[in-house]
Amino acid sequence: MALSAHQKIAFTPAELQFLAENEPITIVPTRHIEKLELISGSYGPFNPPRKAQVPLWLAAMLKSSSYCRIVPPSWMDSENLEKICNSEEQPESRFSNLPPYYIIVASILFECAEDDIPEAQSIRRLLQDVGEIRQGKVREGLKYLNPAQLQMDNLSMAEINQIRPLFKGAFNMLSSLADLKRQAPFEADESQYSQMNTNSSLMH
Amino acid sequence: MDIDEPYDNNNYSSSHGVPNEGQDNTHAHQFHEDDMIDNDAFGQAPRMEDDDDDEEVGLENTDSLNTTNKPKSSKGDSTKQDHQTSEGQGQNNTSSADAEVDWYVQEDNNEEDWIALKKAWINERNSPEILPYAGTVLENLMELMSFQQEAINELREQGDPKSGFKTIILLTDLERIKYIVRSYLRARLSKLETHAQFYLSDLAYRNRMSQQEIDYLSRHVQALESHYVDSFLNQFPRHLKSSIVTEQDAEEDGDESAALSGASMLTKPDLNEAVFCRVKEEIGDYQFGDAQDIIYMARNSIFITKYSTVRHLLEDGKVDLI
Repeated sequence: MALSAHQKIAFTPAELQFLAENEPITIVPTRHIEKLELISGSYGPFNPPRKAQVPLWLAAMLKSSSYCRIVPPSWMDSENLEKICNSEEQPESRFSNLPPYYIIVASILFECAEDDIPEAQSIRRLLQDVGEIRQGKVREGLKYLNPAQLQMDNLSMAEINQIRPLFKGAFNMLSSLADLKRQAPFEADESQYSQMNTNSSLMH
Repeated sequence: MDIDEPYDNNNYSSSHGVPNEGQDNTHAHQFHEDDMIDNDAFGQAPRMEDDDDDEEVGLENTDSLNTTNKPKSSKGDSTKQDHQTSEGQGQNNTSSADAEVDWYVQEDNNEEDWIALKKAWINERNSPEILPYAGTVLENLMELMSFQQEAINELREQGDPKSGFKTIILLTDLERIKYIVRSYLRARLSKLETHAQFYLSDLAYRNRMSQQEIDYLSRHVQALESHYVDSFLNQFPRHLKSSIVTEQDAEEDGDESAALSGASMLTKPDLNEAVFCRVKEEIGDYQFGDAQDIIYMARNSIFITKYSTVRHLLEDGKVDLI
């Protein structure tokens, strides 16, 4: 098959990491590097100490060969995260505005450039806290699910991917129940059964 | 710089005042304190716009283009936007008027081919039905990829050990693009195979497919049918035999009951399936399907809803599935 069973429902962690690696990040080159003409864009020439913006995967490669130092993104700051953590904890609070791949970007940076992150330990802890609080809020959000729509601004890609199977299943169930309710009881019964028959036909 | 120009590793060495050996954080820290971004040289480069008609695309035209894309500073100040207009359904808006960073602005304004394909891939993976084939984008990328492969081959043939690192970077980039292309095509194939006969029989959907996809799918359906016939259908009574094939085939046989049952066996994608979507441009008040609620769709708001509700917004490029 073209896709695995898991891929049909959600993105795999590897796919999400791939997407996150395309996010731009600022580096400070420590050696001169000639211009790189890539399909995904032209980067450089890099002249220390001028900052430059490159995709995360390139930054990680350059970093691992000590061609650059990575500047942690502005949101990855313990003071900022402390604030976010506090506001996330407020009852009835909405999700704070973190980048779409914040969890994955952070974990890649911790892996390849921990020495470039000041207060790495406390940032790691704060991010974990923020992630857990948000996860709890997402689960609370399931209560508000209705057959029409649910708004959940500022959720990151990883968070959406995580809740996708559950929320999709619940939403599909709710909307098919709502459809049933709208129809006359007998009609509803019949159409539902014929639909079920179709779906379980020999073709599958 | 021409791509096939030998990569001079001297440029990496200490001749530019940066010590190669014994580098330590003191140096690095100094650079940081200088705290500047050269927008002319760097800020624009990552968001290069490819000119589709240009043979040298992505290789020569670097600094002159791209006036529309604003360079983003490292602090993200230039991208701050106030989009407090959205009221969370279920999550009430308690913070009031702080301006927020728009994390998507850079990508939304980027019209490079590979970004377009990446978006098409994500949309394709999340939508229940097949979406229009990103043919032009794929052709451009294929051309770029063969061009880049040649450049890499040349670098390798020169066998200059100094250019090793550059070759690795170019190869990684190439492989990443190949990965998106493959994932995109696989996502489509998976959907096409699931409802093969339906997609083949529907003209509107056929127009969304590439010729290769149509050819593949026809062969796929043929193989499947002959397998069904060989393994069990030929044992069935005549009026049941044709029920596995499409409506038209059954009608040609002049078998009405088979035509009817054949139609019912054609599986279709469920357009009412739940999807997650992000609003790319301000839409304003929007009615969600036949539900009573009218919701304000602000930029970057995220919804879970029925695919059919946002289907035409997706076609117009106003939302992205995520």
